[in-house]
Amino acid sequence: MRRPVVWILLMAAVVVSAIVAMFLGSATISLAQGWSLLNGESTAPLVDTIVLQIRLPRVLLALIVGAGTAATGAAIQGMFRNPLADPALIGVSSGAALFAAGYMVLNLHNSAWGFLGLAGSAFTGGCITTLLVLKVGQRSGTISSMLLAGIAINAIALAGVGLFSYLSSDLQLRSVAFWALGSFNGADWGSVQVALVIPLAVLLLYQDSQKLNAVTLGDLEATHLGINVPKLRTRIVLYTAVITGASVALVGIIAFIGLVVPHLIRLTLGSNHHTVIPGSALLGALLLLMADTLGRVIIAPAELPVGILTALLGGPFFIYLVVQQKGRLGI
Amino acid sequence: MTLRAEHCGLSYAGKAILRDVSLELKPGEILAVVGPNGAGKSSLVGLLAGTSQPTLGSVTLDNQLYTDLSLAARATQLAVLPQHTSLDFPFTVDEIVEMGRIPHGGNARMHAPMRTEIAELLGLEALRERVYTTLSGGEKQRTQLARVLCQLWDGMPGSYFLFDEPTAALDIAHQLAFMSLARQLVEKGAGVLMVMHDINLAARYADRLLLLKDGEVMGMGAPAEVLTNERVKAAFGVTPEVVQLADGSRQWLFVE
Repeated sequence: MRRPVVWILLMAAVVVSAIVAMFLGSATISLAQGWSLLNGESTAPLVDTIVLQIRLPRVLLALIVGAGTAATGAAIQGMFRNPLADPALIGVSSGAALFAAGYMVLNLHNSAWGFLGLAGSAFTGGCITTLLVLKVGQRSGTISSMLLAGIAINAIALAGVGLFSYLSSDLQLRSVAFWALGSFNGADWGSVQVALVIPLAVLLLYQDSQKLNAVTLGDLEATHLGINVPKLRTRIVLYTAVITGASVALVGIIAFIGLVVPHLIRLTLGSNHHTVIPGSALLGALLLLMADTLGRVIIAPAELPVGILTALLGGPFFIYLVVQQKGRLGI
Repeated sequence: MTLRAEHCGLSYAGKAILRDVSLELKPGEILAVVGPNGAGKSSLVGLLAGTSQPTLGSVTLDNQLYTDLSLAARATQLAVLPQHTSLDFPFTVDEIVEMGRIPHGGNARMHAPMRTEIAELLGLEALRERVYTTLSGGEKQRTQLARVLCQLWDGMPGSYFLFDEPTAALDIAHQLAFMSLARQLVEKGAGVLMVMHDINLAARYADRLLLLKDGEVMGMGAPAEVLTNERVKAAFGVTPEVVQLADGSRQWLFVE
């Protein structure tokens, strides 16, 4: 397929699924009601509320988080020079979740800092874990040791989340459990506002596209091309922590989107980060929205947390990647 | 205009890797570095490229220390081919060659004629849209060479190329093609330093040879002067037999 066709298809698919997602759910909305809403006319008050106050922010949040998670996955893979890196896989998301859970259980959530404090502590957790994995990866210098360090840090962070759940009251337990699963259940216009920091960080990531291309050749090669690699790495870690921290604080851990999406984009549009980052953002937005919509309708009126769905779909794909790339990753 | 190392020493974890190495690389010459495995050849390249700092002595590019020169400015005057580049992402050959232009900015379309010219010189025309990860070892090496050439292609006078074993993965025809390409680079005013294992190829194409052993310079100068039987025996532990060819050039044969 020619590249412009892929881009147009991707954009069209995002728009169509966003519209479809507004109609689907446990409360059915007729086409006529939807049409009059689009025209700005008022319909039944309940329909107004469901569409404008519940579904629209939820759709927007799924799009933004999906775009951010996939774009940051692409950048992290470039920086680690490893097509199997992913913020969730190398422990960044669980690090963010650990700090968020700690924040909740220590009851700081009700302090004056409120949600910003939660997002901030998730951001801090994301920063610390990314830096840890980077340090271990640099010290030993091999891809497999970096991945293994990520697995260990992941396990430690999740054990910490488990410890916090053990210590928490029943009410807190529900909120903590939510981080382990990942769900858009709590989406409202407030969360959309906070999420706006994500597209900003994606734009900044995009600005480093060319440098990320050079880094895939190796740190030495990139240095010879005039790039200050440590500075670049610090920037990417920061943007990743912002995106992952905000996402985790808002919706919890969403696994595999950041891993699978950039890979699919590379297969169809090539490896240039000028293409991979915006392409991943579009496809990530599309896939996460579709997964969330599926989760809303599949067992309606109850709903399946989206993190469970992405893991169920992404896990087998990851295994396929490992088998297909056997030998080339030095694992 | 010189790339100069003065009394350079390099130690790593208390172990001396290079000892009192001094050399000058001038535009218009090919300097080949030969020596046994572990002699410090790649470390010398790293030192000259500025990616490792000498523990003793100094390295200067046109009388400027690397610490006084920004990475970006250095990249417009010095291009380096490391011994081994591993890449797990499916870039096309042309995209990798284009990365050589990163220090100069501009877009891919601007540099298209340059990429075409270099691809032809290295026999990469048919491979330009191929995915790098599917190439053979020699094809990968030629792609990396093309990228390094692209970096300084339009600014040859006064610029320097450092190649660490550029011909290691190439077949005989491509080895010869690369060596005459290196000759073209110096004719355009570039200085070329290359680490080589093939003594004959080095002796035939280089203006000067540097024989390195245990981190020390055993000899530097015209190939025939450096490659005396005693030195070769001392460096490699092998006694050569020298054969005079019809055109007057010499070949070093190694039997046992």
